[in-house]
Amino acid sequence: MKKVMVKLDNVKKDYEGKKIIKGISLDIYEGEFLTLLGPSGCGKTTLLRTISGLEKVSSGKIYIDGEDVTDVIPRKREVNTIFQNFALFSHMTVEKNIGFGLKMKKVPKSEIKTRVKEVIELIQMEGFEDRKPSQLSGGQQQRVALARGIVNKPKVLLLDEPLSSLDMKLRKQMQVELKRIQKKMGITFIYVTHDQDEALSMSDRVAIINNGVIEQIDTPRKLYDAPKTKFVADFIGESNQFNAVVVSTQNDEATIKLEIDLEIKVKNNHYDVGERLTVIIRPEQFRLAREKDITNCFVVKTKEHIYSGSFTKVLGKVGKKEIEFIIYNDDDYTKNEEVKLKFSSDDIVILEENNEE
Amino acid sequence: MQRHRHLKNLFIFLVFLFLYLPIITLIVFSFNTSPLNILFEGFTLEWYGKLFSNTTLLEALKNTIIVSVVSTVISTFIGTLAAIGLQKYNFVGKNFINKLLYVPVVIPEIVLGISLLSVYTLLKLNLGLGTLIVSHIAFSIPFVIISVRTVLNSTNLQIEEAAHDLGANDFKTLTNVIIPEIMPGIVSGATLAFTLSLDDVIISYFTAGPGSNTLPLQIYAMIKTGITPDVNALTTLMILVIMTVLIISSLIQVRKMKKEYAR
Repeated sequence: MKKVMVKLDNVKKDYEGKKIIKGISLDIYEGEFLTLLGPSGCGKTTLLRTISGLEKVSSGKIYIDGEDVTDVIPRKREVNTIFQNFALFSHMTVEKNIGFGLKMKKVPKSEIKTRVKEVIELIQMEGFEDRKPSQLSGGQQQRVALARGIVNKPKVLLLDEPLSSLDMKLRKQMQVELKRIQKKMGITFIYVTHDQDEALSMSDRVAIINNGVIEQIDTPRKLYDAPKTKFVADFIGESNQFNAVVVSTQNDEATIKLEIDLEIKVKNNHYDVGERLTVIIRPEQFRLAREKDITNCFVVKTKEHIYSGSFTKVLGKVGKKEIEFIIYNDDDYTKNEEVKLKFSSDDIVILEENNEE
Repeated sequence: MQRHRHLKNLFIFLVFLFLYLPIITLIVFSFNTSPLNILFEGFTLEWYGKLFSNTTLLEALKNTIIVSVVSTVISTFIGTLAAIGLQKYNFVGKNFINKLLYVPVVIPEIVLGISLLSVYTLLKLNLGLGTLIVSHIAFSIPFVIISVRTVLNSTNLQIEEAAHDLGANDFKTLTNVIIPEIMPGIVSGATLAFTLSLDDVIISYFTAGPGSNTLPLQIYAMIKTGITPDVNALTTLMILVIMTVLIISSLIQVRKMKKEYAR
């Protein structure tokens, strides 16, 4: 069993009468890269700040490495934060910035020097020791901010959208860099972002947060393949969602009717006749259907073709419902006004409606 | 194009002439053999010698320096902390206090002088260096606050959280992070306070007592009896000191900038 490094126990946070976090419980393991992902205003940054202590919880408990730190002030917690805007000290050199935490902890000067040197090597910024933050590029400032945190060897490093102010190319580069440093140092990372690509590509696990609660916490792959709520299915990747109702059930097969007046056959999962379901089909789960396919066949009126190199994204309509699907460009396909699509009932995700509330 | 440049240069020359001609005149007449500041009759260092035996003038100079230095130090200290406090904390009446800060800045000095005098009379305080210093502190503080606040407003205040996060307590955060970060604002506030105090006449006129004459007051008083060239000598020396300080500080600036951009 892996060791739990951070434990949140029913954490709640109200701010001026508004419930920002509505009771979150979460275990984060030692050495894990966990991402808190959600739309802006969902409470993910507030949650991170309760772990660093910069924000007090309204109720609930926070444990770090088994110790109750709920009422411990920030500077006494063995965590460090990387801020969105870096928050570097502009009057100090790179070396002084990085060494600040150690100096405050009264670490001997010679040790500060060697440890600062180590992390400067780790972030590949040798030769920049005497520069001021204003003389560095955005990416370099980002590295210094990171070094200023990890040099203290915290038990947990909290990262608050640290890459959001960098341009696309640099961001991709820093994602790889962050992951490398995290693996090398073995520090538990808790990472906040609203960028799903970032979350999926770096994390061991991702917690999807919406409206102050965790919708789902899973590995990136599970989140995509088996979303547990409509929100997760919509937030991670693209999805076509249909309201549906169970028409009839046979032993291991159920017939359900989609909102677009189409009956499809799916695996029976103890459904009751009349039960309401949500069917989620990813754009790439659609395949072109041949004449002889009759079951689970969509007839789509196409509206727009968006060419994207290896595939073409097609927007279309079934009745009044908008549908999105993907045609691989090596498929035998010519632009058509009408196209027939099929899908395998093994791939798609079906949510029971009462899962939602 | 060429003509335009000549016109531009001429204009700049006239502006500088306008600014510096009085100062140059003053310096020239400090070496004048005639005691009247009307015609230059010949070169002499006599007035510089007389200056050092003019005890009233030297006493006034001493008072001016004491008042300026003490009031600058105290008003910078109070003003800086006040600016940080006003930025950081929210409390009832904060907006009102912020507006109130501008009153001493815009109020006519003569009103401020009379009000200070009536307070001192009410409290039965003897006018002297003490009341003078307190008055100078009073009118300097808003200038320091305003100048520090300008820098604070453009500072990323998350550095305070970062400092706490890295293990600094409140005091260390203030002394090691916040103060150095806003130092440019503190320095310009202090400079402003110092220069305002150095040449203040009106408020000092009301709040100084016997034996606490400052230089501006003394010179002002001398107008009635006629200004002797030893005042010219004294102000020439003051200009010399100020110029030296300015030149040294800009040399340091230039060297620092060269060092930073050399890489």
